[in-house]
Amino acid sequence: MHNILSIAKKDLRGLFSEKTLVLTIFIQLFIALFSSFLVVGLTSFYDPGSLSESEMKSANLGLAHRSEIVLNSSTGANGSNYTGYARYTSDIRPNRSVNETLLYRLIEAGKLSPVAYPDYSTAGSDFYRSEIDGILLVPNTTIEGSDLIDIHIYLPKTDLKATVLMLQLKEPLERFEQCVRNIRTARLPGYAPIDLKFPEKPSNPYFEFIYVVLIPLLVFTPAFISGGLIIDFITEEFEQKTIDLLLVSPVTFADILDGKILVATGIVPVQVSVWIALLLLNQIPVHNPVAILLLVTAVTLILVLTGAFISITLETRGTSQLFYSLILIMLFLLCYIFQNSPMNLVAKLAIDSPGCGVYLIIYLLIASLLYAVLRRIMRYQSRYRSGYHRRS
Amino acid sequence: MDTDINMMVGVFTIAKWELLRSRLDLSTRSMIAAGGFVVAIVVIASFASHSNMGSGLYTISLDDANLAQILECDDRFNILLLGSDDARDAYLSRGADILIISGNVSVHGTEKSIAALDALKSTMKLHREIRLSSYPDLNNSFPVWITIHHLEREQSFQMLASARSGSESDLDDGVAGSADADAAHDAAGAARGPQAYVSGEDAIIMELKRSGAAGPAETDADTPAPPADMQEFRQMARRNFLEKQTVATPSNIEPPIPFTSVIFAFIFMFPMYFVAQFYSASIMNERTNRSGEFLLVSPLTKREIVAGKTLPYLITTIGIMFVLAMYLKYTLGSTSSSEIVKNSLMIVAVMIPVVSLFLSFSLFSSILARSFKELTFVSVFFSTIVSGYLFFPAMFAHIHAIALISPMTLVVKILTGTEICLSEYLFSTVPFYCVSIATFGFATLIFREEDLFTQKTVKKKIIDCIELFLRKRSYLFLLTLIFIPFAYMFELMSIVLLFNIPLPYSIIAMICISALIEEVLKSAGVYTLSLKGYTGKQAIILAILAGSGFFVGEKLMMLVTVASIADSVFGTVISMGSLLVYPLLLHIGCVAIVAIGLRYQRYSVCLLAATAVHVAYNFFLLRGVIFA
Repeated sequence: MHNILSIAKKDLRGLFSEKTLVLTIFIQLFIALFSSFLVVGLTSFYDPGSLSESEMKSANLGLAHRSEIVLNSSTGANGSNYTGYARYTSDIRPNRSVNETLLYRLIEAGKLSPVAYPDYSTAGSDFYRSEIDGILLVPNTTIEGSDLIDIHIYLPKTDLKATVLMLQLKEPLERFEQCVRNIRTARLPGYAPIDLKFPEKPSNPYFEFIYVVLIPLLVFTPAFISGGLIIDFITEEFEQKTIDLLLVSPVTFADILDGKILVATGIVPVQVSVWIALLLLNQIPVHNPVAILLLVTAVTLILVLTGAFISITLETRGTSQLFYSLILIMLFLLCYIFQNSPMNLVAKLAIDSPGCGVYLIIYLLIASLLYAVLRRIMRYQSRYRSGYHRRS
Repeated sequence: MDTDINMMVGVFTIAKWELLRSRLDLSTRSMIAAGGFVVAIVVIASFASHSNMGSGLYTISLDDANLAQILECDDRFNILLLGSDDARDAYLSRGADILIISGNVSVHGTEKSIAALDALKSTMKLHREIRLSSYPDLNNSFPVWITIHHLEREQSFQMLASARSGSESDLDDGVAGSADADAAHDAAGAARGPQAYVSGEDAIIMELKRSGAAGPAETDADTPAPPADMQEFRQMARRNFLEKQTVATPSNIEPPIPFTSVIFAFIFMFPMYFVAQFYSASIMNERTNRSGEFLLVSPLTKREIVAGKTLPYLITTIGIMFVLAMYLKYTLGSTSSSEIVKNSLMIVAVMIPVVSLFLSFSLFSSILARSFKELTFVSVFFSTIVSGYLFFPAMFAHIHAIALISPMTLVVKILTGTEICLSEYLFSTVPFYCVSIATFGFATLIFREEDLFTQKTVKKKIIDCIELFLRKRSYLFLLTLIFIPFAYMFELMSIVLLFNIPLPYSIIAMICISALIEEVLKSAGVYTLSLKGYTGKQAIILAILAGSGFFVGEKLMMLVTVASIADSVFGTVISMGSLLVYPLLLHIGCVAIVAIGLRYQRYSVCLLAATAVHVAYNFFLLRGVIFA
């Protein structure tokens, strides 16, 4: 035990003196910063509700009727006959003005303040002058009819406002589709919509992202790094031939290995608890912190043992790291497929969903089994048995 | 000529050794094993189309067996199908997040419960869409279709550029204008004259008329035209998830999704990580076993050794990139082989600077590192930063011009069949070229015995490399000039990081960070020289050299990038507008503070003082934006 601890102390000191721990923390901080960029930046982008009032007002939408030529060609393309041509061309102005249409009213009810234009060319000039940031051409098709309603939307190219507008428009357009469907789906044989009455609650678009992606990623990053760390610990001794010196001292190879595994695994729960504390400070409650710590430690142990096994067999750093990364990717993909993967378990634990205890124990068992296997190999491979390392 | 040939021969000899050595490194058995893993990964990835992340998150208790069947399709839900009383009990005892009894949905007030409600809504919507698509009657099941067209319109900060060219000295106006697009627009309109004004407007109206009037098949819209019948609709719905969006009904339409760009970026960056790993391991091997000594005493120059060691890795990576690009282009539905090859070559042209940046960073870090552990961390650190720089702007590929910072945006554009122009290429790759060439240069400088085989600290080695560069004092001018692309990349990086902070704060943070970065880079040379000592008069000369070098570099960088970013508010922070005299004085002054201060104080103190002055100046310039 004393031997193991002294090896652990040596490696830990190395970590501190080379400031590698500082770099690790830097890397994790970086990931956190980028994730916050993802969460706040992107989700606010894709959720209309989280945009502030001023941003909303900065994007204006103009509505105009489509020209008559447009109407005709679109009805033609929809497979109906051209008989409507003469009837519509005779009347240049649409029957109703734009701000009487259902679509206009639905958009107005949303957060956008639409501007109605008598025709598309005035809308076009205002668009060029940046007075409006998008044009929606309202088709002259009736809701009760059976023609497709083809709405044309014009947005500025490579401009943030285009995205903002599209986000704002999605909800009114969906309502519009719903209105049209309410009338038209009645014509479908045997179709009855499932009617659920949803309570009105303000939603939090970040919630699922934070718990399903962000927290598992943050919590497992130290584990991934530790797996790589053990490879460096072990191959370094092989490549610099210091292993021979260590082995002529009273320590056995198993002791050396244990010491290194202890350091690589031990630093993970510390980092994870800091992450959980930081999340709490940011008002993101993480439930079951103890269970999460246990699970992460078990997974770390699995990764560290895998790393140790690879580096003992290969003895060179480059190839060991290659294999470790390949295995890591494979495990990562498997996490994606299997329902009770560690990633998903962390999400469920953090969100306080039931039914995780069994799997937690399974992962702990896998970790201890792997450790036992490694010990066995150490015992029966003659070259590691004594304190003397013989190369075959 | 003769020396050229000799150099080539030397480079190729080293390259050949490197290839032989790395093949010995990977035995046949491990090659096969690695291949097996790659195959396994591909197989698993093909199964991974359906995600199980987040399965079993929410619990729903309900009394309707029909509804239970629908909801069971979504892994996120645990379904408790009970009698109505039991279901209510389960809900009330907090065993379920949602209760559905006879079509009435109730939720707790907790965040989780509300998130479950959102999930329920989206699942029901999806179910409705799938069910409707089973009817053959398109006009009644999917009655509303949306066609989106994108029109060219000058963006506010580009307009500003033209306004500026008219009134060069009018900095204050320009800065205020960039915050206020309307004001900028008026200025631009005036500067461009009435002729351009009318034609631009007409073009938009013509476009409105043309694309509206043309049949759906002929429009160049960004969403496809509505399908003619249900058959065609089903074909559209079966899209590959890497492909562009096809079903454009209100429920299905989504704003441009950034995640496909991220997947592309990931596919291309992955091989780079591995090759860079092997490259740095090879350099590290030369160092740990001191086998590099034999190379150094050979008649080859340092440059030949570095070039020879790099070449095999560079070529391998570029080869992989080419194959990947061809494969992706092929899967994205491109059929003509000439187009595939042409586009793949373009992608390779975009990726070459990225690959060399990666390799140059791994070379530099493998010389700096004292042990394998340190190397792992230094290289992971570098690659996280570089990949962040590549990934995140690319998310906005089709949304905002800021995305052009990253070459990955260009790759995404080429893959999706958008034309790119030379100025875009230059804008996103020139910093990469400059930084990678400079890093290779610096690494070659310290590729010598004193630095390779000793346990010097990272800081000491960096100082060594600056010292070697400054053969004469006048080289200081060149050094700060070379540092410009580094400063530029760091600052662009910080824009991305600060993107999510609300506007006035992000600019304040940006000012402070960019001032600090610039001051560090400007004074690095002066600091190195100060270790040897200099007189007060020399300090002034050094400050002038360093300051003017930085200034010239800044203006050169402006020339390359002036079109897109340099005129947004952030750009003004970086380049401080187009004034000439004051920035020059500022740069020289700040370096002078450090140069003179170093004789009395520690470096960090001097640095902070210089940064403070720099920040104060920038605040003064941008007061219009910050306090508006």
